[in-house]
Amino acid sequence: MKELYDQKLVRKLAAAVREHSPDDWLASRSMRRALLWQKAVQCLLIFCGLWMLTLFPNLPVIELGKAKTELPGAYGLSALLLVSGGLLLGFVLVGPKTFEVTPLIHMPASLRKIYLHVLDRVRKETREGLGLVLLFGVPLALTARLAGEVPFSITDAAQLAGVGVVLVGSCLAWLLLVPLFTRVPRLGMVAVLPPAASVAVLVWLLARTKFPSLPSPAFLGEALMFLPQAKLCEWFGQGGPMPLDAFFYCAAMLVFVLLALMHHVRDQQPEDLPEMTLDTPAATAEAMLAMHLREWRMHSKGMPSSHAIAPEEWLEEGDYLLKEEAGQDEEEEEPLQACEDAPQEHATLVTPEFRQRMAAMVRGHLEEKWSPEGLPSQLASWEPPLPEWSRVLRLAALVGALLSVVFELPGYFETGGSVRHHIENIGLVLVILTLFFPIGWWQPDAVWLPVMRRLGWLPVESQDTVSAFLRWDLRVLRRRFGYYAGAILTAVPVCFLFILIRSVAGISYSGAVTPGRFITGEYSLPNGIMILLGMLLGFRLFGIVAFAFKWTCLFGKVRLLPVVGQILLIISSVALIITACICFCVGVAADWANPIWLVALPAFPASELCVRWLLRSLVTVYRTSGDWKI
Amino acid sequence: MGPYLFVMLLWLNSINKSYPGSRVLQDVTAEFEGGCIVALLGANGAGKTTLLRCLSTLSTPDSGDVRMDGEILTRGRLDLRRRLMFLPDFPDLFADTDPLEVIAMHLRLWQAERPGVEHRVADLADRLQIASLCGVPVSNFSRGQRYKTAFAAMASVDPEVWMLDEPFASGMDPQGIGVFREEAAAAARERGRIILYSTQMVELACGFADKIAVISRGQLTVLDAEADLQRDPRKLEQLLTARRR
Repeated sequence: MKELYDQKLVRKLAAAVREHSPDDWLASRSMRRALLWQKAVQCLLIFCGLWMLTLFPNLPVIELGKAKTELPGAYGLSALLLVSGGLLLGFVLVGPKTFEVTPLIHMPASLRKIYLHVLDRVRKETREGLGLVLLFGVPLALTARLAGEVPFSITDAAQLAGVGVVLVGSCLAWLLLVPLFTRVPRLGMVAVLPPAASVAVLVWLLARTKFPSLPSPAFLGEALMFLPQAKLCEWFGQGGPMPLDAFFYCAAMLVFVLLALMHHVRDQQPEDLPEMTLDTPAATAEAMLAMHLREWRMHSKGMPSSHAIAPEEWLEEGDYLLKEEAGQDEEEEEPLQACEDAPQEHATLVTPEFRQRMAAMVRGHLEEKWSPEGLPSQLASWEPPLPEWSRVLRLAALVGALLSVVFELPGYFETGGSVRHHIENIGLVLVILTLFFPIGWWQPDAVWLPVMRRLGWLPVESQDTVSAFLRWDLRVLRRRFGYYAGAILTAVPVCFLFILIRSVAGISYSGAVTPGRFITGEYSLPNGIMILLGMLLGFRLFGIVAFAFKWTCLFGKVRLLPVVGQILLIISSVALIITACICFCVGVAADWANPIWLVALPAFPASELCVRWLLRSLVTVYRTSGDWKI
Repeated sequence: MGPYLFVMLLWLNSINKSYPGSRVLQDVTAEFEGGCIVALLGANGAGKTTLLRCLSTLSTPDSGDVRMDGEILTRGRLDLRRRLMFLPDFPDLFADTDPLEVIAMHLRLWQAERPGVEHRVADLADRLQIASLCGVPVSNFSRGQRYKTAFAAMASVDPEVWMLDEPFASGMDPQGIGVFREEAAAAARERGRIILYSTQMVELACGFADKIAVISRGQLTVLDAEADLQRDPRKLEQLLTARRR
């Protein structure tokens, strides 16, 4: 069967464009190269953050060399962690951008060919993603070996193969699974699924303490079909007969997910896609290619142009969604109506009374007070919505309670035991995910860019705009720190409540019992919270700096900054890199009690100040002399 | 020439603008005076929108400048920017505002809150058939309704230079296009405004413009719609179909 795009024909058309319009062709190539480079840099930055997030909290993979008997359990837990990472990775890869199939929908191509085309795109995206995963995974493993006294048999081929399978399998599965939940906000899925899986694991482990006959903690690799790739990795690591059930399960899931993916990508509306500039040579060249392709399709199908779209062709293969959409289109749209006495139809002339009322409404808007930032009150609607304080505090209380449970729970298990260690790791991942995702940290530019685009064509004082931005940013910061402070203020009394209950009830506890020992313990509350806060700040800063770099280096705008701004950019970047390295090395070495990481803490607020100043400079520069077409 | 007292002068002085890999505007020089309607024609990618963006300070020319009555127009000159308005082909409006709020915001930012302007807004809303949408957020609007709302804001503000990107392909219905033509003609003839719009519809442009400005190979050629085109009717076609080198 022919591919949707005949590569030979495309090459011929490209050669024709190159011959007849070399300027357009060169411009198109340079534009494509710039876009490719931009995409690659974005991917690298995102993967840096993701891998730090998923692998930073003492990944059990690095303990694989400790005891061969714990291999299945370690593989299973590694798989769980990597599933979380894979989910995030899939979210990043598939979530923000979608495969552009809208033009294909309007072309006379069969649904099957579109499926194949999308499969090909998925394959390419997956290959790119996995390449980046390995690119960052290998240095991570080497750093883990170099940074601490962690036993890690780097030469053990079987272990590496197992880790590789877990890595690839999890990422691939979740990359493809994410679009399944298209009707649910993806952010919600990311925030809910991994913690839910972690809670399930915790419940299972707790149940085993009461019912020892239940399967061992290595359940992920032994019994359950929950993660079949764990079985595969066990097979890789320990040999033996190939687990065909796991293999077929993975294959079936893949097919199912691809079918779901097709429905997902087809449903994407053009409004979701980033705004494209059509008046560019690249777009012109692409339009020529598309036109020739379309003509070729028509000729190859023997259809005149008036029959270019054959609706019945789209309704084949159980394509019920299109039928539903077609049914919706047939219904007449009702005119939007907000004012009761407004005319029912747009074409109806308004009554004199309503005309008077409209004039009064306009006069009312004109006489409204200006906002504190010196902008019309209507302009204040640029502000992205902020969560209510009550919601922030409720969330903080929940997270605080969760924190205290996570720090309380491991003490009920044997010190140094694998179960305790696994619970600690799962708990850390759970806490990090819960702390991160309600606040949105990875796309600060998503908040700023649309606003700037809208303000671009209004004659607004740049100082007013900067002031408004900073006031909004301050409100965000207040809520964020309120969220953290609320979590800590809830966690501390709940922890002491646990201690009190244990003391009164005389419950045996293998960990620290007294408050003093509790605080100075290996996984003590203050240490844990400080580490988490440091990491949160670090990731937040990472996103901001990535944003600043994206605007400056990538678009060649550094020259627009004043010299002081460039120096501050360099200082903040260096400070961030140093602090990230310290935290990373300490984290990989699992030496939480080592106070060296405290050195990194003061650098975070300093860097944040630098970066905020930098952002303000950027806004001012763009407002006064910059090119808004970014 | 109309009965207005003051004639605005817009001067494009050797404007150059490049994007990576392509030089869009090359030494563009032109002069437009108040009271004229200018249609901007050119192939896709020729630089029509880029020129309008440079005129509205959304883009900065690599070299050259735009002058209004002899003063250089820059992004920081809010006083000059309030004398012009640019309507892109996809107006980017604040999603949660309704048409009257959008118009009121423009009136305030352009400092055009003259007495009785609210009746003018009501009249425009009625003629453009967006009166029934009062109170509805613009996020629910179709493209044509958005464009009508933005155009109502422009006509209410009534700046000295009106710049519109593809008004005839903006999604407006015939009624909306009719109002645009009436308002633009009245603004130019009666109040001495400069109307500058881009379009791909040559016949429409020839019938609704005093001057035809063609961008080809990055260079701007301004033709007089009556004199030049009557003398050499094929000139416009030659400019529009010229191949790139």
